[in-house]
Amino acid sequence: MVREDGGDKRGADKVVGKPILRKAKRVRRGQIKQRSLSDTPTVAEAEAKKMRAVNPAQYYRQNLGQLGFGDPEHALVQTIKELVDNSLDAAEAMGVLPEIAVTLTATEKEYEVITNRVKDGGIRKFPIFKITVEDNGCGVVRSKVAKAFGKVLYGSKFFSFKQSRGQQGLGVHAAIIYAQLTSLEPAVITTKTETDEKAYRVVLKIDTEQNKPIVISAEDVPFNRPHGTTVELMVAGEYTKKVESFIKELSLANPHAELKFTLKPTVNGEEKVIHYPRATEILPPPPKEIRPHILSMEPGALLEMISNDRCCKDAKQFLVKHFVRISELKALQLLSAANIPPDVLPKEINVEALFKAAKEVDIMRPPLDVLSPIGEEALRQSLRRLYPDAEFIEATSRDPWSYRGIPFQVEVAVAYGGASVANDCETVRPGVFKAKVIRLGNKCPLIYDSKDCLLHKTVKEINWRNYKLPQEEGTLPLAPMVLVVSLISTKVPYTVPGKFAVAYHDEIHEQLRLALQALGRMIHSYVTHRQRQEHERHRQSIFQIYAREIARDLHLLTGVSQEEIFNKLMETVRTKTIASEKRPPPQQEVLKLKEVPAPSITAKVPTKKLKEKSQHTLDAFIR
Amino acid sequence: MVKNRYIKERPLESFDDAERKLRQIFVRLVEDLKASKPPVLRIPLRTASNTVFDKKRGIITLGERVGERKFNDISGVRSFMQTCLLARAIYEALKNNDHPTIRDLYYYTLHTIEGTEIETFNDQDESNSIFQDIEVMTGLLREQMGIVAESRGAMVGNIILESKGNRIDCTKFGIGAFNIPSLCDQIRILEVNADYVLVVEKDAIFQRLNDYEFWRKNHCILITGKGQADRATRRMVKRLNEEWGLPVYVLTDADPFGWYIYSTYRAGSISLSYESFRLACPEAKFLGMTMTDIEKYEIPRDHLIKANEIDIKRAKELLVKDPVTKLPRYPWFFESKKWRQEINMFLERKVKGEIEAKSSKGFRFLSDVYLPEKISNKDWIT
Repeated sequence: MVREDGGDKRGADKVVGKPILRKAKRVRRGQIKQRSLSDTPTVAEAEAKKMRAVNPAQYYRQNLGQLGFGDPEHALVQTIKELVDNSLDAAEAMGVLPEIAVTLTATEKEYEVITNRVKDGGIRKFPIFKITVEDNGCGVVRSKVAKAFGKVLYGSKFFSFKQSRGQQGLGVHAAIIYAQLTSLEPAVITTKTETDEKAYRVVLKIDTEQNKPIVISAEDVPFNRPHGTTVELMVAGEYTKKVESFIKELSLANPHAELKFTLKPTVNGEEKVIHYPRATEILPPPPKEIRPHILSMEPGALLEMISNDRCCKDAKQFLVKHFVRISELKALQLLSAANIPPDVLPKEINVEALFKAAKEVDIMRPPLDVLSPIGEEALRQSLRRLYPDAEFIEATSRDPWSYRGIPFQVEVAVAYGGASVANDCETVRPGVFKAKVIRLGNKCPLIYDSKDCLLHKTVKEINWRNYKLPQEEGTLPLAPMVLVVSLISTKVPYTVPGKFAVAYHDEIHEQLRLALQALGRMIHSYVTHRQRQEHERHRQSIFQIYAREIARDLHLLTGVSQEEIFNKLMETVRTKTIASEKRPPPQQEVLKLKEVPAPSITAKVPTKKLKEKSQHTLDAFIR
Repeated sequence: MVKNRYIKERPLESFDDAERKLRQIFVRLVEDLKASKPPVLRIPLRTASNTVFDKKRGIITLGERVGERKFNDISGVRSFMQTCLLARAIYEALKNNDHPTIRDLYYYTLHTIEGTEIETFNDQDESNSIFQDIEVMTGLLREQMGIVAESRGAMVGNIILESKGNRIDCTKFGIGAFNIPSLCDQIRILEVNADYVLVVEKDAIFQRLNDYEFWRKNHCILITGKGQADRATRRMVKRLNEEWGLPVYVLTDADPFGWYIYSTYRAGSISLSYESFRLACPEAKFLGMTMTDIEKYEIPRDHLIKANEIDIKRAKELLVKDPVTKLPRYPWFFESKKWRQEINMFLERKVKGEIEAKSSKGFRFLSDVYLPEKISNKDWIT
């Protein structure tokens, strides 16, 4: 059944449909044998009668939580996220700078949930929001619109081994299913490709029983952009602060995107417009598509590939054709290590032996230049745009690396100090702030489940005290700063498909650690520099205070003018500097932004001394 | 009648010199500054480690180590300012012929530094210490700079003084006495008619001896410092010894504190080591009361006081050697056989005796028997 419906694309049933179907058949066969022995139907037999294939639409309808639509609070963010992800991907696919407008408006409709979260066990009501996401992406070809939006697991992303925001192409469908479950309203999709005369508007629902679209209406409409897509959904949700912080982080992760948000959280409330003009005009390099690396395969997936392969005549050809970094020579090497003759049919490959061999034989890492990171400079510009008054902004990245044959890259950035940064941080005590971590997976903000996330955990593991940041062991550093941790990969290893948390992998952990430590050193040198500056300013002011006193006394003692003595005295504290001014400040940007009251008045402070002497001891000198 | 040892009468010190000397130091400082040299004040260290015993003169003096007080040193800038401030105040006082006390100076210079909440001095101790720095830096003593300190010494005897044009006959105080003023160098000693100077630790004993007119009967001058002697008293003793050649005898209780008082008369103290040359009188002799006197004059055991821990500690200190230099800290005690005997006897018996204990033999025993006998027998310790 599933096969017929989704027959044109193998991938869909390959992962979800077919294995279940097969299992069912096998069980049934076993039963038949048993029945010949005994006529009474067993429990297993009764169970077997209930068994049938589940289509992915049904499956996900039941398990929306896995996809991030678990409760109304998550749902709003998740809907925006899925739609915007697609929009960004669509624009980048075309090589245009994304321009995305999001509208979120509360309607008078409400969605009622019976929930135990309310004390009296009563009904909780959530308003239904109308969410519209409009982009300037490539649009969808008319013939595919209904299927692309109305059939779960239908799309271009599942098959590609390429960095993209969405990964399985499940997101938008989940959003549509969630929308129709809560608001009973269909999705409205308006799309126009470059070549279309007019835009095509489709109103549709997903038939989850059949996993196919139910097109309610389809018509030609005018469109105000040369190309692009607008998706309109009605979803029940709870408007929380997370919505706005998500938007903020989204713009942070996509400095090349022009983002405009129109938010109206309550029916009668004020409309709020948040506009993020793009911070950079440079489009990140497009990610490249690669074949999978053999080490990245699950044995089961490999088995599927082997059994579905119909074009390769032998095992050697199969390996060379389907996997990256396997030359003919390497294929032979691999097969001989696995004790498989190179000329057997792909079907006859012993998967276990092949895997064992793959781990033993030295196979090159996948090509690492296939990723499209945000970029250090773009991250800096992006942070500067969000935190214009930050004292220090820096970003650094590691070279691409791979985990289990999957390329990935780690980028980290920091915005330190300043009112806007402190405002975003949690206040522990008055004046003490806890660092905020912004996690990005393929340029998508991850805002839930931080405690399970490798990115978040690694930040906490770092000993920030080494970098002069106060920290209680195993927690976030106590400093007014925003840390951006970005993981870019052809496949970000999420713990669940909802894209909340990154799973643990040694290689990623290691690269993250190194990147954060490099960033830590940058912060350290800034903090030290700032301390030195502050110390210096403090020192100067001490000398100045006393020089004035001394000038008066010496004037009364000797008759030389106060002004002359004062200037000469200050000169003696200054002359010392010139020799020691060699040490440049760690960051040029800091100098531009930080106001240094008297740049010419600086004096040497022995570093060693400085390290030991805190502000406190300096004050002690005065008193 | 004793003749002044000097051929010409020593002129009184004039404050003009001090004014010039003080100003000179700071003029030089400003000249350095004009030549873009970092200003430095060189101040001999007043620490215990920089205090040495001058064997030749028999007094404690400052060593040769000098500290630098710099403006362009964050830890030194405050005391640099304080030094300039206090020096300026002293200079102004000298110029106007004022004689303030060091407490006056403290209040005169105390103010909040402009633009801050910082006071120029935290307390008078800080000011006093800076003041001493100025004394050693300039080589001018506070008396030379006309700075008045508290004084409590008293003197009586056949001696005629002159101050502000008045003749003062020290035989004419009745049961009172002449209070030795802080600026005792501003007093001229016109005539002295005595054989020796008797320095008495306790004011009460002094008053009793004065009451009996001991000085008249024994032809001496009586002086008391009322406990630990102030500078003026010590200076007066020194002057009588140095200018008039009178021998000096010191009478204290028989305990370590009394010995220490004798020690300051004789060799000076560590804290004022820079002044010893003016104050210490190495010829001063310890008349009593000695530990041997306790036996000799058969003072009953129950009239003695048990020594406490502080007394014992202090007594041991008198014989201690410096851990760094390996030299005895109080060589005049350590190197004298008699003194060692005395101190060891004390450490053995752990008792001390007050002078008044002699009154067990009668009220007049001290003045009529003990003192004349001791002096005629030359029964003293040097």
